[in-house]
Amino acid sequence: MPEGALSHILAGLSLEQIPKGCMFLFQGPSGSGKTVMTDNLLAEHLVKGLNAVKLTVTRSLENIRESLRQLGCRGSEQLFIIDGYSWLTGEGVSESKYSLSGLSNLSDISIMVSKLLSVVGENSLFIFDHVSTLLSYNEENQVVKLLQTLAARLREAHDWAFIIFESDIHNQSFYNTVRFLMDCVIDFRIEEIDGSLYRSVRIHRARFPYSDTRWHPMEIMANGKIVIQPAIMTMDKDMFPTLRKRVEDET
Amino acid sequence: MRHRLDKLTIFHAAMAILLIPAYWLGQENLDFITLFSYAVFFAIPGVAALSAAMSLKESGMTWRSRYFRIWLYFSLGTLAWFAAEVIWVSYAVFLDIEIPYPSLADIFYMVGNLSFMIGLGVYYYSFANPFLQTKHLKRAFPALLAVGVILTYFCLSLSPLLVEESAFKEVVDSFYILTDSAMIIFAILSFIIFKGQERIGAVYSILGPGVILWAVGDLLFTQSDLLGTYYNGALLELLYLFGYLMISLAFLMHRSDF
Repeated sequence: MPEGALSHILAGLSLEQIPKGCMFLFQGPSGSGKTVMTDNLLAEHLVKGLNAVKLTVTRSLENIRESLRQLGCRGSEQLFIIDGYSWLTGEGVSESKYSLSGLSNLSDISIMVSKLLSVVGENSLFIFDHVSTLLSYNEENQVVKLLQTLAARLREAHDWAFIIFESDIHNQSFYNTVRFLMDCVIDFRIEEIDGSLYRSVRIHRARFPYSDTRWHPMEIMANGKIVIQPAIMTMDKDMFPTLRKRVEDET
Repeated sequence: MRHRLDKLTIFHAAMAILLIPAYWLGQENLDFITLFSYAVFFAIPGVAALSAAMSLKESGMTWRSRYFRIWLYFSLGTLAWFAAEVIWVSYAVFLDIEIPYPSLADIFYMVGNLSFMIGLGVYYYSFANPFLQTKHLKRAFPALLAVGVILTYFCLSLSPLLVEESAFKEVVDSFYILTDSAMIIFAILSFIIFKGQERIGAVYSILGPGVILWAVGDLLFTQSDLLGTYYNGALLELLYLFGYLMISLAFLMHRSDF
């Protein structure tokens, strides 16, 4: 079994074997497992004693920490969270030193991320969960400029980044521009088959050669751990229950 | 952190307010204002250098990071200015040279100007320029036009005096005019783009005017030196001192907010 949540679709490679400064885009509909996947990657990274920066606009700090605890990651000193969520709830006060008081403050976000990337150093992980919310508060071209700036900083800092956004809710030109900035675009899919939801994941395109563009069934276990199965050629509704059973047996 | 910053704001504001009557009343007692000028130009630039160094310490300390490089430029700039002020005071106190210009101090002033200007420029290109919009340019245009007109008039009025100076002094003066002008332009553009952004907007509402005051003070020093009207303790020094205090406060705000 390859190490790392994404390794099945990255030809068995772990994140550390991917060139530094790579930017991944996770795109897919709501509930398809994008955020859970980043939690898995974050936990794997933190457990190794490496640093990470997470910019969240969709979940509370407590929710993130709880997910990480369930995934077996206790300490969170190496994790720096830029909290863009608390102000949405109207709480006003955040536990995080790096809290935003509005999502239209793109310069503030850019400076905070730059500072934290500088503080955490090389081989760190940056997760942006997720871009789509920013578009409710800013013009598309401004968000693209922020992403361009962040991409430059991340490459400069030699860190890996995972950027999440929802599919099918923005303009095609926005998707095209953002995809162009990324080194690897990963598609997430969720389908209902006979009253059950089934998730799958694949590489849409990548700038590195070792990628698998076939769909891989993906299971989320009770503790939030993700298991990606070897690729299947076609989506067969009879295949999923068998796969789910196999995953459950293995874990 | 915020509580401590409030105290520091009060400290900086109190210093600025106390300087006004001291300089104003001191004009009637030149011995007092000269000594007072030496003392404050020893202390206040030191405070600015310390504030920059504190921010540098928290910026990751890796050359690969642009954020670190920005704070390195700011720290080097303010430290060089501090060193220049100390050397200036030392010339006056130990060598009895009242206005040591140009002198060894100018090497440090020039390093300071260059370093601080690069810091402001890199900050602008890293964090402000990506979000530059047409509306910002429209807002900045009147201010930049006014600065352009004033600087052109300033240079034209000084040019007859400059040609009478030695070639070396001409180069030094021109260097100051150029770097001061660049600092003013970066400060105005950044201030207009960051306006409305909660954290960096607040920082630049102090840093922008602070840099402008400092640079205008420097330009006026060049002018009064050429006219032969400068003396230690002159009122224009208040512009430098307010500039140093505002730069110091803005750096502390930046450190606290980011």
